[in-house]
Amino acid sequence: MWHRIRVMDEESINKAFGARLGAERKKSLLTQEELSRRVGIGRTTIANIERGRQSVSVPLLYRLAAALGVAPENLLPQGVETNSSGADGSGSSEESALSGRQNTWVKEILQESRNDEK
Amino acid sequence: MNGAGIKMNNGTVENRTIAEADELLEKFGVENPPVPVDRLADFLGIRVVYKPYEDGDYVSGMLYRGEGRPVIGVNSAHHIHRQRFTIAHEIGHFVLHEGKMYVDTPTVRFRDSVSGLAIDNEEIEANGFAAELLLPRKFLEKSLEGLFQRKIRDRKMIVEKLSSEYKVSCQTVEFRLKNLGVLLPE
Repeated sequence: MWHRIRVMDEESINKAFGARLGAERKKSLLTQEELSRRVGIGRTTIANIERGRQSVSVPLLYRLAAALGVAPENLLPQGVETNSSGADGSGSSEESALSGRQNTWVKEILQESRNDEK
Repeated sequence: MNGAGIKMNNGTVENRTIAEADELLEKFGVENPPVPVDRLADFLGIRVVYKPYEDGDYVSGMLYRGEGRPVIGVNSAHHIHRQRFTIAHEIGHFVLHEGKMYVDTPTVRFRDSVSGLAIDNEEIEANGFAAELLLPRKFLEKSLEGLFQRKIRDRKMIVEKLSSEYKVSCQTVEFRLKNLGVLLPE
């Protein structure tokens, strides 16, 4: 099996980012309202971002991260793509809500198990 | 029913989940606790890879089955009891579910398949499977019987004894006993 970072389309990126943001916000025990106040944007904007209906600028990414007390990269989703030669032939499409670090951990496990097989 | 009057119900675990876990124990010939989950994984042809993931938005475990040998990844920074639960949980996904990739984290659950709605249900099933595998009701009946005969009736002590006998966390024991409807003296 092979793994590489998948280049996601814009819609998937927004959705995955929204999922990461929502997860981090809940972990910080903040409501959308509270987060929006900390960042200085409207609550509906937060709601739209979390639903993947709106993309965020890089400066806003930093403000969101600061408000949540996490590193900006922690909010960035990455997809582990498993190159599938399965029956569908299409390669699996994954909706990833993993952080970069989680993604790395997954890839290292897969790498290690692959090495063992050799 | 036995003299100690230990009654167990089916808890919230579906019958199929119970049957699959019991069948695995039987096939592998496990008769006593602690259940060797790592060897059970091996028996199923799954490689178990341990890798620490410290702090933050941690990961407890993952299952991948694609080309080559299926693999379970375990966060080895967690307590050994927790790691055992993780392995049992991932075996649950392996036995019960079709997904190619599962990554289990506290806040987000991730998998590679089409339907998002089934995810929660699959997590619940995998947890139920893990509870049944690590704390099989047949074994528990015997253990509880033994403890009662030794006049051990203190709730906390019972939970601690079971925790060390089965090598699972006290929390898992408590949850399991509650689910089985075994009422411990407060």
